[in-house]
Amino acid sequence: MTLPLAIQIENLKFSYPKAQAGLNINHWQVKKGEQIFLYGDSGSGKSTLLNLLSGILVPDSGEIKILKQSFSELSERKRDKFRANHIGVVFQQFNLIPYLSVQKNIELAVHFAGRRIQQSLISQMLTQLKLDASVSEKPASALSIGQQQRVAIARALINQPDILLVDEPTSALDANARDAFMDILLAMCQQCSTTLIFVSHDLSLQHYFSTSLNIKTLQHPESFLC
Amino acid sequence: MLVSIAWQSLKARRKTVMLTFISLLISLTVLLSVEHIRSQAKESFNRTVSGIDMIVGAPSGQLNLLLYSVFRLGSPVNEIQYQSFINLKKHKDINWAIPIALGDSHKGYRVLGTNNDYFNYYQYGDKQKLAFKVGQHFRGVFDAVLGAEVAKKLNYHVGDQIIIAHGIGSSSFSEHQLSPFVVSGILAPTGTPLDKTVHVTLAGIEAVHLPPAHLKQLIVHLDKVPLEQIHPKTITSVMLSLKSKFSIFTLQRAINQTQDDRLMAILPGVAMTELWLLMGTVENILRVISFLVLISSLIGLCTMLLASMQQRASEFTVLRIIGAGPASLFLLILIEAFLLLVLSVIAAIGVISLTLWYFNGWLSAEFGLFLSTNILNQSTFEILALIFGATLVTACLPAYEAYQQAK
Repeated sequence: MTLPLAIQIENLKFSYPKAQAGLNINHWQVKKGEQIFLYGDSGSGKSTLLNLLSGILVPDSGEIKILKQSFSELSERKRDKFRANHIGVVFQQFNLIPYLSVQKNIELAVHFAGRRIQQSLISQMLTQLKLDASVSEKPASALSIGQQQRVAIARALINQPDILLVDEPTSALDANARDAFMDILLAMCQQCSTTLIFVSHDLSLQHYFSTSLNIKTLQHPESFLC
Repeated sequence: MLVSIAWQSLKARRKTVMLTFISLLISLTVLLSVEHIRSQAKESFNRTVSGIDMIVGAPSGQLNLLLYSVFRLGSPVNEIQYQSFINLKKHKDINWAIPIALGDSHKGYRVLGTNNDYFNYYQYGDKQKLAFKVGQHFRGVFDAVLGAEVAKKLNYHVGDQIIIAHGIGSSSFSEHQLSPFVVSGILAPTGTPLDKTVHVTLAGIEAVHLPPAHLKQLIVHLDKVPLEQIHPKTITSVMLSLKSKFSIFTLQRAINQTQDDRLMAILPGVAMTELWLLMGTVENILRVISFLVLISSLIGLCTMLLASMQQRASEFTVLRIIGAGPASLFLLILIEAFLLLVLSVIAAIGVISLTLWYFNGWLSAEFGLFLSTNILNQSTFEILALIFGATLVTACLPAYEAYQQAK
């Protein structure tokens, strides 16, 4: 183990109040800078795992350590702050607040992380994402889905998080937009050496990643080392 | 930052927000104007009489006497003998006495017959004496002193001639054409019914009611007769100031039991209290209604915010994921409610001020109400504090809903 760990899960148990099925992960760890493709059928717990990793959900038992910081030790307030600073999330859709401008959406993420707004960084990021400068003052709802998803990346990466969690971000995109999106996403993660957990049921995306993992194998009671 | 999000969010839901805004605006306007008129009406009435200990008139209700002799509202039912005024004036306990004769009008403004003591002794507001803006008090039989509003509205100046009419309508058939009065002075504004009054001499009142032949004779011999010698047989009422307040009740009883004339003495303060007691019930009903209207608008605000919770679920998820805590969401909803409330309050105050400014003349002419257009007084602020408190309580419900969704 040369590289430090980004994510470490031990004896994690989680289930929703009224559902029988749940997550049960004995051991899983991800090294810093890894890019992992996590796949599985719908309902296999992919999104639940992402919510646990981002600290929106709290495990029933067991421990999640993000960058050696145990989530369960943090107060709710600190967890929110920690997430804002260290974890970026991109969902399938509805990543932006529709009535706010693109600029404002990104600024908001900076604000909640308690950082100072650097306009140059925002512009630079939008350029990198091949978004026209004119886009930044438009309300998010006026953008195409493809544009919205790219803005979502900008929003997720603006605080230079250590971990980026992505949940089926391409399912609403057509093939061309999807390829463009994937290229940009991977390039940007590479550039910032951000740890990427990419969740999808679409195995055709697997070829973009060196490491891919079925969530079923994680659920296996035996320990699993990635 | 939260304020700016809240503002954008309200703007994005323009339709429902506008409707809620209008409903809040209406209820706030009703509530604040009821409160304003309530407090101002009292003040406006109270400031009209000052330093008058007693009013003497023909027996009727005490409110009636107060209303027609001081506020020029309603009409006198009966008159008293001029001799009674002379007797009162000579009474040892009485400081001064001002005679008042009503019944005529000039272009809708009431004409009040009196003597120069009126300008020397009458007080209003905080014991302020009357002041002349231009000109001076009566010197001859046909002199008239105008209230500030009369002069302003009818554009009269000192030296202008005016003709008074019998009765109190704005268009009377019987005008006292033969005897025009001459404006000798114009009073400074007082903010009381005095501003809408045309003051003439008692002698003048008597003169215009004489048969034409007598009147002509009188006008010829005008220089030879002293002003005090010509007077009507009856007048409407007398305002009194006593030397000592301790004699009030003795004197009141004595006046009420006068044998030569049928008199009734009232204490303005007591009559005023009766008026407020009478008004109190109406006032309270109005207040209750306006508060109910406000509560229903606040419930509307609460409903609007609650209804938006469902459609905003994904928005809250985004806010959560970028690090906004449940407390931030709670605050966001509260800010939205308060932004809307503040806007409605500002708009309501604007609407009321404009309306008051526009209808001020009508209110004072029709109801004798002199309302200040500045509605920002202490009682308004107290009401506003109450409204903000009530909004806080109602907005907590949707805010808590948002908080729960975030958890």
